[in-house]
Amino acid sequence: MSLLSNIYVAQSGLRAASTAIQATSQNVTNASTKGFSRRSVQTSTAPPIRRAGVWFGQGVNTDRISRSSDNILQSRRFESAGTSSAADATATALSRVESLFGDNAPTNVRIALDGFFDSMTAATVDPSDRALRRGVASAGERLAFSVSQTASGLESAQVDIGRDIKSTLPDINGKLKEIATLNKALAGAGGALSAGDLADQRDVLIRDLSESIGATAYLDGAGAATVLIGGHAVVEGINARTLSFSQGPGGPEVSVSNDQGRLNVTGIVAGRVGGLIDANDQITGYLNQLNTFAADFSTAANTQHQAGFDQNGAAGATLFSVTPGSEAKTFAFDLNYQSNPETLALAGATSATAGDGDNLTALMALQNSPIITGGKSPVDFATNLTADVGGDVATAKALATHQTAVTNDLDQLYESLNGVDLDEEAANLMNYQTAYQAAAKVVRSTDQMLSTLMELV
Amino acid sequence: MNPIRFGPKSVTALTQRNLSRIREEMRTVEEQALTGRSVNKPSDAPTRRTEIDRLRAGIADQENYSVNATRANLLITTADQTLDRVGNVLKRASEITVQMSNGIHTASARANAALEIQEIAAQVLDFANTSVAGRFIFAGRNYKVPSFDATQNYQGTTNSPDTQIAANQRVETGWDGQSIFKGTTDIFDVLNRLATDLNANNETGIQAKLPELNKALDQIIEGRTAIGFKGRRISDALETADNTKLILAQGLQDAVGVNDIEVYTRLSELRTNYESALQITARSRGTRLFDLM
Repeated sequence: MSLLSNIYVAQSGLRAASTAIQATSQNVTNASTKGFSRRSVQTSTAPPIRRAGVWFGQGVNTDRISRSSDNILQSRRFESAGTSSAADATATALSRVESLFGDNAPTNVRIALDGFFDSMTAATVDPSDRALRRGVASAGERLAFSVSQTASGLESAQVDIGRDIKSTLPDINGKLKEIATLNKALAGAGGALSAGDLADQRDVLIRDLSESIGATAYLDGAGAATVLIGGHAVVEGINARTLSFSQGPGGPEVSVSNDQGRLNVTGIVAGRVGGLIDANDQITGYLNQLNTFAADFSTAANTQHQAGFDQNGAAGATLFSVTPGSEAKTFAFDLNYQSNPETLALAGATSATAGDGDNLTALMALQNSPIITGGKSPVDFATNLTADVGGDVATAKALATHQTAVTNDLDQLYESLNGVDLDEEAANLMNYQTAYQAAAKVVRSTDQMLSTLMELV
Repeated sequence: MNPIRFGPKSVTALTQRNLSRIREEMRTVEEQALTGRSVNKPSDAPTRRTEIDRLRAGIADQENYSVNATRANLLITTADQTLDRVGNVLKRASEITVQMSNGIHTASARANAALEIQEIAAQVLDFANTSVAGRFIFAGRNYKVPSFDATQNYQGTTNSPDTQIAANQRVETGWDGQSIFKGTTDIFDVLNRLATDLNANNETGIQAKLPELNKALDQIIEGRTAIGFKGRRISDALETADNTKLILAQGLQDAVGVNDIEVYTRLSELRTNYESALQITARSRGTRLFDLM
């Protein structure tokens, strides 16, 4: 074994140490970079050679710089992130409409309903009193306001949800294209250092898509990702589909392009978009309930009012009006009664004496009568609707809190296994620096020995 | 076995989560302190919504019942006092009748007595047309017009108005003047005929009016007794409404209220925790191995 071969052996050590230091510097500088996974250098002993019956080592091979990862754990993280994002979106969207049902909200239907019937109780002491009649009319207007404004607020929330989803899709489509581009790059990167960086970018995009739309992905041998939404592939190799938004009769709709045109995936998307769609569906449920209430209550109140007589002895007219199809939003109290309270038909007989409040008593009885579809009284309906909204919001918040905690734990675990610990990198740096210095010493010592040999010649 | 790593991202994320959690709870407790309520929105206690709405509505109901009962009480008190005065003037009419039944009185004396009886009849008519704030209390439901016209004809109704003073309780707020003043005994008719007999110096006729006047007095006493019972019901209803309102208000406070001491103590704890968390955060970013190299 010649002295020169010692230099080659030491040189392999220098190469290995400097590569390791490069990986360490990459780790340190990207310790806080989103999605970065720790790099490490894989080395192996170079195969020895045999000369004159003796095996001589050939130093160290620097095989590759590998990226620390755990695809199964990563997949669980992404799935959990999608679920917590969905729950959070639902909770946030429903919290906005919850304010319509607050105890201090002017749109609180139960409070307005109680006020309407309370005004009638007050009027029993003197049904002919103009001020008390105007009190009934005012309370009727407030009730109509609370119902119509609650409906308007719910519809506004749905419009906002639609806009939110629509504005999210271009970003999602952009990310799908980016993944397709990365797939192409990953196919050509092989074991290069850049492959780890590309994989980090890919994982960040997949995470974002999981949170946005509940996307999942599986990787091939080169690290290229096939991205799926509800089981439908939206990125395969270098090809990416596009998502689009439309406002359907049932609410916002999301569709994905496919070979046959477009496929409606509204019912299977998850993530934030899925959470918003779920919230929209729940709000539709509240609106439907409110529409039923407006229709049934106006029918019952009008029927009873028309059975009575006003102070002029004339039969009562309608109190409330609705438009079929949007009963709650168009629920209105006839403003004529405010300026002409004598036309409220509170008497039971056409003679309409001042103290005749028989129809007033009958109207008051509606408060606890099962006049709303499903056998509910108006006050029970209002309380149940508020309780439903409160319960849905509380459930969504609890789910969001729980799922966020699960996601955080998975993130913490992933970082613990694949992240960068600065103290660990500092220790490694010291180690690699020492190795480099030792290899350099070998080179220097061998060089001195060669110089001595040269002087002898 | 893999080492447990705590890199910058982990530390930052953990810190942010903990600080955010404390801030979120502080916000909730501050809201409770400001509003004095533990339930500020439906999601704070969705399972208690029925109870909360029932308590709040119940308080409003009791307030309404109290107002109605107070107004009804005024009307009943006025009716009771009025009928007391009617009874007094009828007793005076009876006294005059007893006196003029004696054969010693002259036609002139009886004629003077007739004037007083006519005056009593006019008084009874005024009493029958008693009103409270423009409401004729003995006109039944037709209380916007006088109960009786100038010729003592009844203009009211036989049914009475009523008002709600409790959940399933209503009380009359007007009375059938026909039955009180012209029921079994027509009081006006008795007084008118007595005046006629006095003017005609008809001693027999005068004597015959005494039992009629006694019946008239009984009729008034009977009417007054019935109204008196209503008055007692109203007193009970007022007391019940006040007590019930207090109970419901306490119930609502228990359901949605907060204990001030507990809230402010918790707020103080959270602020201390937050300060401590900030301190720990600052120190956890301290010396690293790199600093010692």
